[in-house]
Amino acid sequence: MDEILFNDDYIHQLIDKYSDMLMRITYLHMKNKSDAEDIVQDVFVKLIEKPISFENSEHEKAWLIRVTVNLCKDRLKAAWFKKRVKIDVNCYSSNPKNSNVLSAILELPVKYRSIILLFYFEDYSIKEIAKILGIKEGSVGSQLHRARKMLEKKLKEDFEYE
Amino acid sequence: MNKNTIKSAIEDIKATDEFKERLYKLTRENSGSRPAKTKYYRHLIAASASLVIIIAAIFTKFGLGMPDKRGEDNKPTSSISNARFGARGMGGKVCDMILYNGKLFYTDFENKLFYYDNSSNTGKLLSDMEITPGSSIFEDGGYIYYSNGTAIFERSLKDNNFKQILSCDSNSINGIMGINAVQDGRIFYTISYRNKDGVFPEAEYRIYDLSTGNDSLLFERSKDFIHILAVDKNIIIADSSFENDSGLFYIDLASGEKKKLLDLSVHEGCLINGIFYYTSQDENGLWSISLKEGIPKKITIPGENEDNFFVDRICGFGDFLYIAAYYNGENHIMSIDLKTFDTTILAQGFGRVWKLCSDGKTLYAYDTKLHVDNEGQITEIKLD
Repeated sequence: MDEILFNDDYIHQLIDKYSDMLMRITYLHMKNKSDAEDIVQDVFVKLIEKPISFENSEHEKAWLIRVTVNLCKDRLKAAWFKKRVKIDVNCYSSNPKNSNVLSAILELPVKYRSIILLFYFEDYSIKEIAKILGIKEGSVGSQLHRARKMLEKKLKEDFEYE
Repeated sequence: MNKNTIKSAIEDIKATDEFKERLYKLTRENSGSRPAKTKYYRHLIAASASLVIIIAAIFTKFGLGMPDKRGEDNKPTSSISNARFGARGMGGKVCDMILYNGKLFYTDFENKLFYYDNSSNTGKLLSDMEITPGSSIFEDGGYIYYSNGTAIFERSLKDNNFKQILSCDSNSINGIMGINAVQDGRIFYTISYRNKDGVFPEAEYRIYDLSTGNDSLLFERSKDFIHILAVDKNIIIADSSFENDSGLFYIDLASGEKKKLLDLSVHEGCLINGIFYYTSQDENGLWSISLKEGIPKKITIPGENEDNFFVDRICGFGDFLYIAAYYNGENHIMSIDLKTFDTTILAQGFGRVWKLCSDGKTLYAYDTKLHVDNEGQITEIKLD
């Protein structure tokens, strides 16, 4: 990693490697594709403006996750964003089962969504998530527990309704 | 519902090819092939840093005074760098800090215990430990307690001798041990049980008495999740998630009473004189709740009307509460007199504050400039 230059090839490698992951994080926060894409763009611009010397690929990935989560939080806190009318469109899943599950995830409180993603999709441990998000291990554990319960309840209701 | 169901649903979210093309174009326009900080640059940075340290030492030695952007009246008296200890990936960060007998001890995210040497103003390695990387240490009576996932250890802060206190009797593949709190000679610990998906849905909560060696059950094995935030004699304050309810709970060990205090997820708090002070991701700001009355009250602090305000960390000692409050792009370390509710900004200009600890005479804060930085500094603030 040390000798890598922040040239176009390297940035393109990062885009190929991480753009899907970053889209997942931003979409789960923002619930709409255009805001999600805006933030992913901002992440890469930030990286170009202020090149970072990553120690290894684990650091590279964790840096991108943290910056992305922080940018999402900033955007969600912004006064102008709060005043907007949110249109929640689940535009990704064509499979009805996946669509139901994704909708249920999107209905969770925002703080649970990134934990769900990092734990279930990115396979991070509770300890690693605590480090990445800067919250205590116990909090990650309790939030994950609550999120799982809420998801189970929501999906059970949906299936019962069907 | 299993892990694969969730994975499969999330997998559908992807960056489209068109968006990737836009990203390539955007980054081409912005990049101009800038070099990252390579080893060469690091040497330059290290040389510059050394020069700065030498100049700073000369200034300090001759009492010339250095401009300090942290606070106007109460500047931090010194700052020690953790930057060079086993710093690989995220391993260089400070994980936990405790104060014992006026001396600061801290761990990194690997397995190392350090102490702060006031005379040289540096952090020094005390020893390697058998600890689960990233887990907390707990101090009680001059000893620290920690776990490596299969056993709990006790290490003396006086002579650095250590011994194993407890080990996981159950199959270590399925069970993992962690400490929740240590108070008045009692270790509150958990044994978690893994299911076939590798998730830990069940846990058993236990108490080990250090003086008698008695190991007792606190809560039997279940899907309940109890995150202990504070213990005072027989009272436990915990952010809990039970089968049909979740929130902040008060548990009386003597009577077995379990009472819900708040319908919130609380991530940081401390219990002083029967009042629990807390900050929550759900309710920005600093709050208190009396265990008797059960009514939450907001504590007025500077900066709370600013954009993006939140209380990052809390610690308490005696009749004072110390907090890190973020606003205007930086964290402010404040003290709050709990008798008068007078608030003083002790220092400012901090980045992301990860840990605070105090013994009433000195306050230590660990921060990194940016949320994403791997290296930060511990700042010492004299409170006398």
